[in-house]
Amino acid sequence: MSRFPPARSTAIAVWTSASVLWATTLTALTMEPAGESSPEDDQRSTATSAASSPAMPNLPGSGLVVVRGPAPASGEGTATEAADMGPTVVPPPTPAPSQGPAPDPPQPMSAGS
Amino acid sequence: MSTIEFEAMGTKIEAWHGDGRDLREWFDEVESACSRFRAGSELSRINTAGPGRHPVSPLMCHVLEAAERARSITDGIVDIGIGSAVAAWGYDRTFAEVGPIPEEPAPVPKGGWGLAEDSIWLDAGTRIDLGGVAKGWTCDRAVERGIAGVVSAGGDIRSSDPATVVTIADPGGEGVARVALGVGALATSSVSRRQWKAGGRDVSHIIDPRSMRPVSSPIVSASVIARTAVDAEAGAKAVLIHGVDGLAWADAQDWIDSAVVVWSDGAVYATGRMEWAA
Repeated sequence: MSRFPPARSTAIAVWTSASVLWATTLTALTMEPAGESSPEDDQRSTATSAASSPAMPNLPGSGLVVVRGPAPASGEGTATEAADMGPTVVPPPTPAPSQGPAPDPPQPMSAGS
Repeated sequence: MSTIEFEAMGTKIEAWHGDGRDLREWFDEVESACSRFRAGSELSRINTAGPGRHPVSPLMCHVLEAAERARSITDGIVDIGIGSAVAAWGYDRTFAEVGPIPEEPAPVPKGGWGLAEDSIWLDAGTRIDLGGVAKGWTCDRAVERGIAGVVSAGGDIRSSDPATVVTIADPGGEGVARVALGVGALATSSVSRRQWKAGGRDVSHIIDPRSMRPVSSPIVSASVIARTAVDAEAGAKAVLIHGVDGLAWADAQDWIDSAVVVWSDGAVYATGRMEWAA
């Protein structure tokens, strides 16, 4: 049941409707000039689009950790085999339990898998 | 504590807590069977034998079982039956001998292969490239057999030491993450490691089996932590091929612990379960 008498409720509804209409009109008036974009506005839009490309990964269920943000573009190597640059192991600090004889010296291999 | 180092399978092998001579012999044994560049290898004999059913050695059978698992857990995204496409795009010799090719090759049909008891069957036109599967499997077996405690083969790492910490580097060589690997495996798949030009554009050795073309991905390199090096290697390659969906896909796999990727703009992202080292 309403906490207000019927006449009071009607007055509140009318007042609310009027407020919404006024706010809508005000918003429309405020936004209207933005329809005529200046060259500066266009540049701003373009810059925003460029900044959002390339896409980020789609979100994993456990969350996405941003370890490092995008880096400035740098010269890319072309058609060459870089050194192995994946993970590097930090050897465990514990002494080797069973160290065998030293490995044979490295030899150039012509094969790969 | 000394580090065991040598070259095998076209990459650098490093190991700790182990027997260098035994480890080298182990890698040589697997490479002599699984290399597609050695004319006398078991794999070369299989590939040149053409379609049909061919008996395989026990060692090859184990590697093929690992390849079957890699194909199964990645829903076919990691498939050793892409050898014809790898060769057609120019990587038909050791990487040191690979050069630019003037035009993109004609489309290569997707082949088929399977393991039946002690034999492998191949569809017409199918060639096998064991690549990372063989590397990961060799690391796994080296540690499981006690030849070494920690083995790294060009980015595929298997460890039995709880204290093992791994630094993941970006393609520029800069360390971007230190992860507490402990007992387990970590592998990295990268499109920037082995690139050449085909038809005027850069292509890599990683083939998407759905298109049988070199992968096109916003991910430059993907690293995955899993229980074994075979799983980690398959996971890393699949994440890279899945591209923008790669980390979400990895997170949904119960056999993958965590994953980290280097994006094409240099950004680095990881799944939420990654355990960072101090």
